[in-house]
Amino acid sequence: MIYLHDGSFAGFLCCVFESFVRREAPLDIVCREDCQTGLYAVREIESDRARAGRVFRSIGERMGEEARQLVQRAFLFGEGGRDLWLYRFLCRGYRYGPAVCDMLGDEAVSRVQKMALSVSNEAHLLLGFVRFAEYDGALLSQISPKHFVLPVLREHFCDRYPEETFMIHDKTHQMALIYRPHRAKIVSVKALELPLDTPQEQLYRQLWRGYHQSATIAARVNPRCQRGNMPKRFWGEMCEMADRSAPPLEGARAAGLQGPERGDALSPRRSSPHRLAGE
Amino acid sequence: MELLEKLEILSDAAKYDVACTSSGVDRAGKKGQLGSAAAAGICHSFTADGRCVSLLKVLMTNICAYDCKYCVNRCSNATPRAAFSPRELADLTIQFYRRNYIEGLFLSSGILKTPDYTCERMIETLQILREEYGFRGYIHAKAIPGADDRLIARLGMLADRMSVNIELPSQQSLRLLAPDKSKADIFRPMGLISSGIAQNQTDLVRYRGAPKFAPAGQSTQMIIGATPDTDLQILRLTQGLYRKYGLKRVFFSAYTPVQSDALLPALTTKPPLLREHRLYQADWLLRFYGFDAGELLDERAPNFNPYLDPKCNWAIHHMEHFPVEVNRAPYEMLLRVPGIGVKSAQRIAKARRLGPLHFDGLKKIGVVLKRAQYFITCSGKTAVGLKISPEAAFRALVSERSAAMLPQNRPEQLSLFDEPPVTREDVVSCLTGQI
Repeated sequence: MIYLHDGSFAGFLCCVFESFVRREAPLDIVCREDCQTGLYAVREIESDRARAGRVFRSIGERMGEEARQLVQRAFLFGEGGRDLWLYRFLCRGYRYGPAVCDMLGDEAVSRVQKMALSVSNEAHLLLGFVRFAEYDGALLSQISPKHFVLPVLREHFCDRYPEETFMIHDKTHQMALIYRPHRAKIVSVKALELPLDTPQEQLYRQLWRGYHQSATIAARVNPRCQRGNMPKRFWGEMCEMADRSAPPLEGARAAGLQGPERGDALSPRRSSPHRLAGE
Repeated sequence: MELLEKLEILSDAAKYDVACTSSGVDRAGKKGQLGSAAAAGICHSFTADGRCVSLLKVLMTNICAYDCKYCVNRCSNATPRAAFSPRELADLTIQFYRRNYIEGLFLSSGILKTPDYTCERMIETLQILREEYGFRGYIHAKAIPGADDRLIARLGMLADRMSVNIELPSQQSLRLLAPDKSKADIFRPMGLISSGIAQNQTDLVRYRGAPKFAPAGQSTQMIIGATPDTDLQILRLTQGLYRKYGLKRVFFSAYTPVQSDALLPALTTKPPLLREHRLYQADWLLRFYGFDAGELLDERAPNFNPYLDPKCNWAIHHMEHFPVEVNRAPYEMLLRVPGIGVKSAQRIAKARRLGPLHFDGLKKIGVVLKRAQYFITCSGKTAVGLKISPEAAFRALVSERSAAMLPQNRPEQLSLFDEPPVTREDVVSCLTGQI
């Protein structure tokens, strides 16, 4: 039996509820939209707030706060197989109680821990990699993450910019976090066309790009290390990496991005174009 | 001069300062103000050399009265000079911060006129940020050696982290290359800051609202490879700094030649990146793994092994401590097993309370079995089908890149009179301590 839910966290919790009421173990749990017709029977599970609430509370009571947060975080995981592992994790949790979080040798537990970690890691990277641009006093940003990280970003950015108005658009999940002073919500936004840059915005972007390049030490260039720390899939939305086709500044070009093979680039002094006239 | 040009000159001049971390202080945002700080630190970008950009790292000015031989900004160097006005720099910081380009500001300076004057300008900048803009982001300020104690104290009240660069690992080297700076000049502000932090701790116990003095602590950095100091000297100094001054971090910076001087390595010298890397590895062992500088290096081998990282090197020379029983060994001993890091050691300690661990469980926990299997047993058993020999252990510990540096066994023309060449086996047995 395959359980189908509406894709929300409440929907998933209702599947857990249903499985315990019927005393049956589902073969798989998937979102209705991702389901493909197959040989197995399916069961549509309706979302019910009260039932979801009961399951949610019971997780906290039986397995503790740590497990509840773990499940919530892991549910943001954006790749396949998520729900079934979460279901198995919860089954173990109901049997073993709060100790379940430490049973790292268990397949389901370690999968759920890894999913939660993967979400947290991507969210942490994006805390730094989100780039805002100002339009009419409001800050706009676009991201395309693998996992649904907006709930994690919400906490951070609402705390950081309490007096700003901002929006972060998640292109992958077509959702957006919108914040006006002291109120935030996550809404569905299909497509978003960014307005044209103002001259002031272009200036700051240019300053930032210039800074980013002049901070590079030419004798230590190591693109592999750079890609390892900042995977290329983020570059599209980061202004200092994205529009590199735009003519970089003279000084920036000389100071950065030249390998150590070029003997003349070794010395920052000589590579700097701002030489004094008399030199 | 245009802002863009200024920014380029002054960030170019500051880039040899390695510390760009924004860690060590947790400060939530507040209504009506701007910004917050996260204890773990947040990296906002990475430059092409793979270093993290977390803070806007600039000098207030690169006009400098000193003439330190290793420094780009020494007064005898013909380089373009610029200076930010406090207002200009504060505005720039805020605009970058709002766009989430940066986590805060790293402010250092050349010595403009006198140390006191320089320090005052830095204070003015930070005051605009903190008081006018209500900026709650991260600020790292360099203490200017030679500045008045009260100015340093004021700077510490505005900044999250302070640092004084120790520059070179010994007084001898310092006298040679930085004639205007003395050991006392450097250690005085360092001691001042650490006693300020200690004093502040007791104040905070007494009344909660006490203003915080450099809450993210103090750090320092030194240049590696400009002088003939050994790794042992450097590591001992590092350990001393952690213990005596309670520093949060000691940074190492591989010397990049910026000018030719009879006292300095030649211009064509490549920065000793591997050495720097080994020092950082050892630094981690000091701070998180409970190692002592004397265990990692001694007078007989005062420099790190280029083929093996310091932890593996220690393990392979102390095989008498191994194998350890994963299910019973104390946490401190788990930490010393190659292939087990702090996280996996913590996870093992947690998971083994619930039942015995086996090799497949260890793998799920994140232990690097390829390395660890030579040093552990699970419930008294070693990994199935494993033959333990120093040669095999060495092969597992050495990274692929280092392995490529070893002499290769390749066919050779025989000759009657040649010296026997150094073979791979010789090197390996030497490294594993058999000779």
